[in-house]
Amino acid sequence: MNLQEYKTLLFVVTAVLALLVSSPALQRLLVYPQTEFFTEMWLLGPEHKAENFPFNITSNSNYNIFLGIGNHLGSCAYYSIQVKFRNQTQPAADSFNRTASSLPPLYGITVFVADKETWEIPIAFSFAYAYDEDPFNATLSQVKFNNVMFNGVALDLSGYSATWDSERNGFFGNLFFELWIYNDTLGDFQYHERYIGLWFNMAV
Amino acid sequence: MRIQRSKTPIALIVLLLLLVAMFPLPVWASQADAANAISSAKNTILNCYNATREAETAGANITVIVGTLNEAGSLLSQAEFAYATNDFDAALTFALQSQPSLNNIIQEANALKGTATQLRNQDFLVNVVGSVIGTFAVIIAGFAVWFFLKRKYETAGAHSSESSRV
Repeated sequence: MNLQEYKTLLFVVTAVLALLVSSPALQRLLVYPQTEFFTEMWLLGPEHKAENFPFNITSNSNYNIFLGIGNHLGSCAYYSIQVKFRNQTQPAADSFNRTASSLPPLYGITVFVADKETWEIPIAFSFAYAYDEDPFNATLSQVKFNNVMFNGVALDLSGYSATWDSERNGFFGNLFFELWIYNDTLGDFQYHERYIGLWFNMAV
Repeated sequence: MRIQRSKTPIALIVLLLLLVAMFPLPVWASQADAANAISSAKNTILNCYNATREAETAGANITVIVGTLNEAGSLLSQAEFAYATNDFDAALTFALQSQPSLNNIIQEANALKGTATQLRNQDFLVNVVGSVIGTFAVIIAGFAVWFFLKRKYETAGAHSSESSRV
């Protein structure tokens, strides 16, 4: 082996060894910074899949879903999930204007999620409602809600009602969850521009 | 006769006081008590959350603390709901129940933060400083071997030219 061949071999061996030894330091330098900071929010059906969500429901029957949050904000977050209910005519949260619904929350769930962690709870609910009959036509004119049992807590729905939707043929109610996040600067919760919900057909 | 009459109300009062002492009357929480307890619970939770976040930034594993915070948060939610439905007793109870579990959270978070900072410094020293020094050592060793080989070849070359001359 002549000197030139030794030179090449030595260069390759040195370079490979240097790369190996420097890899722990390079590992820290060559990590792309996180550029997107967001929170995921999801609802899953009773089998913990995105299917078979309850839709046609009856009064006082129990239904199960799962509600979850994934934190990708870069640090631990303090959330509040506001549980709300509305009929077809009441205001929902607005995806375009990024505003929350003006309806009062029925319940607030306080949640803490560490960065890159998820949080999920099973939700068992049942609606208690009654029908109003139209005496002239002998038809059902509206659904009057009494309450919704939400994980064992009775949330008052007196004053809530749903009228017949002739386009979709049913009495519809929308149970939805708004995500709010604690803002250190404000010292209060602010709407995190995320909401998720389910429409229900209040069957007889 | 007069003495007899005056004894009856005194005996009744004594009996009443005894009854009060034996059977404590339920204490109904006022709206203000419940509101104060909720406000206090919120502040405690917020302080714990801030300590937890600092620990997380330092690189600590905060899973257990977050679990405790969620338990306290759940009780706070129930307290707020009870308060909204004018059940101030339940609101007070839930708000007070949320506090004990949070007692050691700040100390725990600070301890985790200290450990995480120490581990991070150690990790930096080994993996970054050690790695950079190691890389320089490998490069210098490469050069040293190269100079050694070069000198060896040059000496061998000189010897061979001298012997051929001889």
